[in-house]
Amino acid sequence: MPSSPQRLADAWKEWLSAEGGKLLLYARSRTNAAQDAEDLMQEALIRLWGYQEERGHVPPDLPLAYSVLRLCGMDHGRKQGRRVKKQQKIIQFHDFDEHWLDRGAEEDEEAEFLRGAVEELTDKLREVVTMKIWGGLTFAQIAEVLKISQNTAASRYRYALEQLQKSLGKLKEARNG
Amino acid sequence: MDDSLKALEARLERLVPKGLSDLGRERMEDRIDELAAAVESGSDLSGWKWGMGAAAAAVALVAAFWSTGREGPEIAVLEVPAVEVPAVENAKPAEVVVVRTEEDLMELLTLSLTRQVEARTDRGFVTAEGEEAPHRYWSYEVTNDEELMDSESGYAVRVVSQHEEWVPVAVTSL
Repeated sequence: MPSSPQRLADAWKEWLSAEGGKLLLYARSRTNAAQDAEDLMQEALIRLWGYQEERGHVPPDLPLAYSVLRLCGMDHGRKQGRRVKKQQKIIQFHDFDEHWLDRGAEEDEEAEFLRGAVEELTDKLREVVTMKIWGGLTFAQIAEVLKISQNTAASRYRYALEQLQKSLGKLKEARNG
Repeated sequence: MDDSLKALEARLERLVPKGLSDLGRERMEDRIDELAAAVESGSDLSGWKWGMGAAAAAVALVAAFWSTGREGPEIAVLEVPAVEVPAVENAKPAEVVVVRTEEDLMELLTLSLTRQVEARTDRGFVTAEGEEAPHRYWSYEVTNDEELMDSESGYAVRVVSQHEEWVPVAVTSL
């Protein structure tokens, strides 16, 4: 368990490095701009630090971080006095070239299409997919974060995948004429 | 889950989320250094204890408010007394007295609200007085089940309250 300020800071920076991308992805889906998402992360970080005081300020586990980020997002939306417009939300991923060096044009196109299809999912479906796929959370953990039942979390996830599969199918049909 | 959905999952997993910007990471790391330094100096930058106390006070107020809902058929006015949150360690004197007002109480987020109307009872006729038309009264047992959350602290509370509502229905003849 970290104790000295330096060790504490190092542990949190390491945690941020490991989990920051996953959390930012979720934050991004709840805000209108990339800058807002990073501000949301800052706010969540401060709250999480406070929550972890009684645990010796160790870095939090991911479900708690998602919960706090979600609360910050709700607060953010309320303060802005408007609901986040769906068309303004953009989930950002790395360019596929950075990760898939030897991919054919067809697969690249599918990857790009999938990114767009995820963006098109409804908020409720997308947040479950985000937490499950990129956050690595279990359905029990997702249910806890979203205050829904495990069955609902699993159903939303499955429904989201089916939607994505359908979208992908249409793309293939269009491509094959 | 069938194989095609599993394959789709695998494809999604290969879409790697974009990380924080360099500036964003730098800002967060600076904040972490500040927070860690504050632990050593004994001050609390997060205000978490304040939030806990405030949330507890708000929750207590909400519970008190709804518990009074059993008595009368309707509650139109919410009167919330000021609440002082006990002083916390390491806080400055000016920060320890927190007054929660009605407005603060309304800041609680409503996560869910269900309203269930149960037994209906015929309360009979009320004859006219003066020029007022006669009415037949029905009473309903109503159960509200509300989940509220304090966004500062993350504390959630479920409030279940029952009350009776009387509904007058005008009658044209007896």
